[in-house]
Amino acid sequence: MTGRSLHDALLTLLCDGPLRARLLTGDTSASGTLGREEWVMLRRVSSERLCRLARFLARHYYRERIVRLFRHVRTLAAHTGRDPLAVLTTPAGLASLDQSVLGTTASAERLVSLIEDSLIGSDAAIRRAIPYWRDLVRYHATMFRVEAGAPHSGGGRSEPPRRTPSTRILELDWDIPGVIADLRKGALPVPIANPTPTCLLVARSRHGRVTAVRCSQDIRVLVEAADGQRRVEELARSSGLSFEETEGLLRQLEEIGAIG
Amino acid sequence: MASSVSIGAFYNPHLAHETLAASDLIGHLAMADPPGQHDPAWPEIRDRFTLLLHDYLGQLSEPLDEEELGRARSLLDQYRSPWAAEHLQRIHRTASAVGDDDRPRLDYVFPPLYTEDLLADYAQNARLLREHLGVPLAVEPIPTYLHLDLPQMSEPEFLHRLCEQSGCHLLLDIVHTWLSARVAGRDPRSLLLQLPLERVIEIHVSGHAPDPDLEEPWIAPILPNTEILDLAELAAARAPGLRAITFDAFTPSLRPETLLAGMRMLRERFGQRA
Repeated sequence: MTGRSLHDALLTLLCDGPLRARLLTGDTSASGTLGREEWVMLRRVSSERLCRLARFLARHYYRERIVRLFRHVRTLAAHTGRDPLAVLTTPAGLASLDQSVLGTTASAERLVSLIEDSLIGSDAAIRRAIPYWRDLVRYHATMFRVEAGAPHSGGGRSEPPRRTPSTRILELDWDIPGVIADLRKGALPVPIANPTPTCLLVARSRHGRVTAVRCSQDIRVLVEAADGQRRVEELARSSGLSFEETEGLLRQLEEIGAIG
Repeated sequence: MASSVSIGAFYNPHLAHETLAASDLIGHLAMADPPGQHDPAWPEIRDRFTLLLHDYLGQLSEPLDEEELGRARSLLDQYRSPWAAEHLQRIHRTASAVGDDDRPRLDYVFPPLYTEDLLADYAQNARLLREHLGVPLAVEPIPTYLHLDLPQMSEPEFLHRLCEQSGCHLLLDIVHTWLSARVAGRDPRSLLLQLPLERVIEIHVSGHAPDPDLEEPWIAPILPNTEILDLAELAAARAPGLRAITFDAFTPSLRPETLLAGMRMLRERFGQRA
């Protein structure tokens, strides 16, 4: 056992609620994941301090994501009385923190479902004042889910081009990018929006940056057709674009991580 | 303390207007994040203040790859920062041990173990980063909340050897030292005086508050109390290479009155009235 191997095991344990529970109950199967000597060493730490620290780290992990990825819902909190961060203090939210495996899709999904429920439950009064409220929540929840998706690996674009697994197409009834532009200006009271069918493409780049861009019909067809089977010429034909236009779009889509 | 020591703060973009208005109080700005795409104040901030690179550059227990080195260089050039800082932390596992997927990365500073093997790795990688950047590199130690029953060096010994082997400087966060002493059941002043204070180039000062998860005091972006200010003054008096003291409050919830009160408090304590 080295300092590095023990620290790796400690990080694994702090990030993995179910594994931590197995260690604390003396389940020796955890030693396979952590290493035998590391398991023995970690069995000796204060279980109380270990659990407190794990919850602290999980709270920071998800708090940062909620603040960043639900930013505009939070801007409206003074009007709605609903802050997604409040979930982290509820019994269900605390249980979610304690049982989470940081960085996994499943743990993110459990938490974002709680957040969605807390924001849109009994929200009739909010929707009367902010008719696009549910679309705004859907927008942020999608950003959260896309960021939590597995990162796509590899350097350049695959040939034939392939849509990345975390990429989502989001259909909304309201012009949420327009609302967000107003909220960014610090425009309060609540921005007014008109009902406008809006399609967004949400993708995560190789570096983990989540981007939402307006998705035209051409882009939508192209993204949906990019299944890793069709070559660029075929994608151009199916989307009705020239080869050059298709290449140009694919480069932009690759940059935001929609195509890998 | 040298009169040329700058008293400054972190750049909080939501307080850009107040920061610009208080440029007589704020001597420098530490940059924890790159400027945002939608930050209209950034050009003026960059022109008006000395900027200190304090972003996450990479985990120094691992070799920084070309991309990380390039990003560090780019940020340094953009800020024209006279030195760079990086936390002495370990927030993700060894990539090769987990199939090159090093997730998850903690989103919070977390200290390494103070063992010989990790010291060798930190010293080598910190030296390479310092040489790549061509400016002083300051490492900032992180308090240890969870102690493992493992033979390891003390924090002061690790820091002395790391600075000596890597040629790095020290960014001393006073609350971190206070917490390390508290958790270890030691007197903060005696722990502080064991650190390589001659390597300190920058000091961070903030407050602490009870944390509901840890159930004891932890770092908080609030005003320091008298004990923390006294410790900071003691450190500054023993740090001949000190060039900056920074009010360490970086959070979207920071209020302008706290930022300004923190700056006035530090100026008053360190004898530099605006």
